[in-house]
Amino acid sequence: MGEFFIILISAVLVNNFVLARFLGICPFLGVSKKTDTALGMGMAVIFVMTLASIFTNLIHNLVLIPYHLEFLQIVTFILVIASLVQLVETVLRKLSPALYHALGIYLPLITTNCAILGLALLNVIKQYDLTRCIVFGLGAGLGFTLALLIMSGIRERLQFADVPKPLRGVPITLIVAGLLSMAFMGFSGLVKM
Amino acid sequence: MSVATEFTKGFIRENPLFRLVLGMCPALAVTTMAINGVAMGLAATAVLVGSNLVISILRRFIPSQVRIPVFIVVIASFVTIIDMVMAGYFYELHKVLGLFIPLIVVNCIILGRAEAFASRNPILLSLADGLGMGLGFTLALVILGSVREILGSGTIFGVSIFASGFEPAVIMLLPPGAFLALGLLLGLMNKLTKAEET
Amino acid sequence: MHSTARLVFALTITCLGSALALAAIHGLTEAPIQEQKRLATMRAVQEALPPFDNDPVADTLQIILEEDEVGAEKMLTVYLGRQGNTITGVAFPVFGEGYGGLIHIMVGINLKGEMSGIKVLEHLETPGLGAKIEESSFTDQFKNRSLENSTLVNGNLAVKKDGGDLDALTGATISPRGVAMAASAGLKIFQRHGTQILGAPQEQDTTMTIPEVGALEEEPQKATED
Repeated sequence: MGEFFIILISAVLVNNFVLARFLGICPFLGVSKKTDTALGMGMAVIFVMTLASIFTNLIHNLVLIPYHLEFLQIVTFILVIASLVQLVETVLRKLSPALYHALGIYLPLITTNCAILGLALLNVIKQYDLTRCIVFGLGAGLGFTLALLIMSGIRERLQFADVPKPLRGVPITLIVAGLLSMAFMGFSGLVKM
Repeated sequence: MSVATEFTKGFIRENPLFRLVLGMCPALAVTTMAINGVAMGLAATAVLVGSNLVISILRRFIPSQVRIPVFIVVIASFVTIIDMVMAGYFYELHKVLGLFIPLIVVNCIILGRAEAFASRNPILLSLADGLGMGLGFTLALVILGSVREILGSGTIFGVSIFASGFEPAVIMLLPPGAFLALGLLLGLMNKLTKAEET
Repeated sequence: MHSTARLVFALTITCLGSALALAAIHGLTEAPIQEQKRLATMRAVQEALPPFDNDPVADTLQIILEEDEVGAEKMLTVYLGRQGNTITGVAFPVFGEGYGGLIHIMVGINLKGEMSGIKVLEHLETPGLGAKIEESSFTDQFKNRSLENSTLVNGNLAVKKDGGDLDALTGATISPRGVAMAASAGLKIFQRHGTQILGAPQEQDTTMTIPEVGALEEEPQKATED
């Protein structure tokens, strides 16, 4: 139980997927302008990440390894992820059309969110079993959402600040991300991984 | 639309990293040294050229409704090939780039070019587009990598350029430095392009 | 349903084509990849072991560590360095806790139970600070150290700051501590299993090794060729 907590804390704070591992930057910059869209995106990502963690782990352990097909890892993983995102899209359109429209193009773009594929590959590298995969996937999604929410809170206020013209938009967001990343470095050594 | 224009647009006007703001994840992650930027850039270029080529050849046969999954499978295949080739012949670089070689699959540049260009244009133009965009990306990575390497280690391509009294800013090699460097470089690019427009 | 069939067909053909192409390239690159891994292990072993004239990467022994042993994989591969027919040193991978994660090193130990060298294999330490453990200016000090000839703190090698003999790095103590722990783990493993390892026959020999009485629960395996 303790180890699961450590995996969780590590993924959310110590090795945050966005601010420390550089995964998920494109949606991080694209969807962090408003807090409610950010929250919606975060929820969708947590959902997809946890499911993706499970399914890629199952495919890897039940199909790829026994049949010595590890070299098909990248292709199968990305297809699993693409299918999951398609599923989430269909479900969301039925359950919450408002959120579906708010997320717009960013929803199908979750497929190309390197955080999800990165998560699947990290599970393989760390040789996590199914339960650890789930915990890690959950943690990764939570960490992504946390970073996204903090960033959107800052950006909402940044709109009223007098940012120099060349830095407006992506540049200033990256600089803010840099400062956030520095702050999160303070969590190093919090858990012994 | 000439081969030459399609080839050169990726360098400055439509530079994938600096102008189109694509491919940031690998850009931030691997550019601790200029040479890593070269390796990642060339690997991505190889995938981009390969996938643009195949998709352009097959463009009339791919039904529109399944085009994205088909593009993804083609791109993922080329990425796997590059991954295996690098593991076999460029072991050290493969180790350094690590996780980000497979992540070339989700590099928006490649899927973006497949959808926007290769699926609608003849083979030669698609090749030029792929090569130009890829090399432009490589150029951007080398610039970012050089800035971080010079400030963070005091070297460029492994060659020490400052006297021993220089204390490098190690932060440049760590995540915050990556964000700051790219953010400031983008700001600089914006300033320079505004200046040439007036 | 004609068009759905067409879509499925297109996707299936693409996937098949992909699988075939990848299988082909996989077949071609498998050997070079294994060779690269072998070379990497060889480089590590060369720095750790005393001079040898055999092929330590092929001349290996598997031992199984006991429950209470730390700092290495339970199924441990030991690389043997020989001159002629005699073993002159053994090397195996061990790890210790660093700042950013585990630090993996290859430790080489000679017949006197002293370290003949160490090589840092993998780490997640801070570039420019803790990462300097890779440099020979740091690792050289481990040469010829043993548990007997060093000042131990809690039974392990330690940095001067903690009361031991080892120099740390400027601005980074945790990383050197991790290396010290890894090295200590290695020396302790050799203390417990040394007789068993050194009794290992040559590659071509088919006689079983004679385990130290009470040393292990399971039978050790004879020296294996890679």
